[in-house]
Amino acid sequence: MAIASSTPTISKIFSYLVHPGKGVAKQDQKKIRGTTVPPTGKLHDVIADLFAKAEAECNLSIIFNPSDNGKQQNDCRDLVLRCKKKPTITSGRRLAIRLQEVTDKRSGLGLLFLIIGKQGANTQILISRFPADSGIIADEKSASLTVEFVEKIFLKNSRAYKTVLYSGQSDKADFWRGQAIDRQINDEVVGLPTYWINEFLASSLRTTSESGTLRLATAANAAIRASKDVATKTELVSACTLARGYSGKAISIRSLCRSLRLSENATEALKSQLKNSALFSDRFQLSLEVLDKNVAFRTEELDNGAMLTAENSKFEHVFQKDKIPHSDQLKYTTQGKLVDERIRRSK
Amino acid sequence: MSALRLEYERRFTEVLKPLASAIESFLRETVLHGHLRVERIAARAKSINRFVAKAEKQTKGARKYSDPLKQIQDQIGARVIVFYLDDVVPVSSEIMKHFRYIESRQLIPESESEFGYVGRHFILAIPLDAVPGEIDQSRMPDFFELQIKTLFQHAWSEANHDLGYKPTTDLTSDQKRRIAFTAAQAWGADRMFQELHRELAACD
Repeated sequence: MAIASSTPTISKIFSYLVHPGKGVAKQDQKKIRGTTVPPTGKLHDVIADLFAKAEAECNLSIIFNPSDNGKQQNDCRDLVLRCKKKPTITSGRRLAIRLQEVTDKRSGLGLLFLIIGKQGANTQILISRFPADSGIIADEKSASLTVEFVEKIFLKNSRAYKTVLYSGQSDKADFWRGQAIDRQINDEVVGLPTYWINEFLASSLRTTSESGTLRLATAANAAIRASKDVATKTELVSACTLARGYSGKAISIRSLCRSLRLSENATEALKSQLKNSALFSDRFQLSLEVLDKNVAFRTEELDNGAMLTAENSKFEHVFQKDKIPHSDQLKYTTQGKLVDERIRRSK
Repeated sequence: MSALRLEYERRFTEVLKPLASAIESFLRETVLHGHLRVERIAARAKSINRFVAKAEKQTKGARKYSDPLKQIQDQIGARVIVFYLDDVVPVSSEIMKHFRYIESRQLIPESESEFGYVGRHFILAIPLDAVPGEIDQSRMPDFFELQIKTLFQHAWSEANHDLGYKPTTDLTSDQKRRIAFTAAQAWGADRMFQELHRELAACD
């Protein structure tokens, strides 16, 4: 995606109220109403601020899927390009209809904004969904205070706020890649939300599950081998074991380090093994199968508190494992020369 | 010298050549590592002359590409050569595990009585994992082309490509027929090797 560095300018803002439509009979679907946001005023300023910050905030790299028969065509991308070519309330409504078709009752009512503008030579298109919420308005006057419960308020700082930014010049070549925010996966390590990225945008994370997981395993193996500090080495081995718990979640190496509260040394050790700096924050869906196949170190923990760690490929040779007859107990035997020893306060 | 040529020359040297080499290594060392049935993996940056020639192509009296630096998606081309037809599917599966694609095509001649260019083609997003730290990512193309071919498909397409760049006039009917004949022979050889490979594998 081509990114220009000048200040973005907005040419059109459209907004649509999108009711859930997934699983709702056609005749019962709510008609989508839309409006044009005037180019001045508080609402315009809020949206302009979103638009200006979008490039920096949208850190989830996604890409449109091809058509089912493998051609360079995507229905959602076609709608985005239509809005670029003809930025009208009607062309934007088609995107809102598409969103309605994939919105179920769990996702609920949402307010969709379509913002079209320029940054340098690039056309930028920002699509944002604010979820509906309820709240209380407090109106303070000189001698009184009134409070009122209101429904259908739309909050940007909700965890369900979603947005995507497309930027480019050429309809044929650009607008395949987008930068998204999905608070549900940006804040922490959680499951990959299919609603916004897969269903509405008909897109996938730019990095495949296989590639991202292999990146993590390879960096961890190299960092463990390269680290001279036994504490860091042990921390990284434990991290590989704990990472198994994030199977199927959308993670980056950065989010994993934060989530596991890895030390600065261990985080830096991992980071230093990456080919380029963008790989640290890039998200992918963790595959347990790929992780297990590629992580080089294995730890086994016993109920008596013992933890045994060795290179996965050598584990069976380093530790002789015998089953104690008539019990579920195991006996491990190993022999070697002591090269390091240390005491830790916790695991 | 045109501005486009100058710009592509810079991109060729500073971005495309090192990136093609990195993609080749990524394919060899990560994606297809351990695949015994791969004969060769190669990736190259499109030569300056071929890029300019493609950029200047006309259709219906107008330039085919209005923004060739963005629209030409095979500025980096990679090829994986496998032994037999049966090897194409497993290699394609590995490719799809590691790359996002925006196009996936099985190229075959339009009519059953024609013989010519065949192969599996992808337009793939350049994966971040293949990009060396020193390359400026804002100057990279988004995509590259990857072809999977058997030995015979590869041999035929290379010779056909070489011949295609030589004539200054259109090929005669007889020349076209002879090229189609070689394509038919390559097609037949692939089928024979596939059958032999299956028969012998069943005996193991």
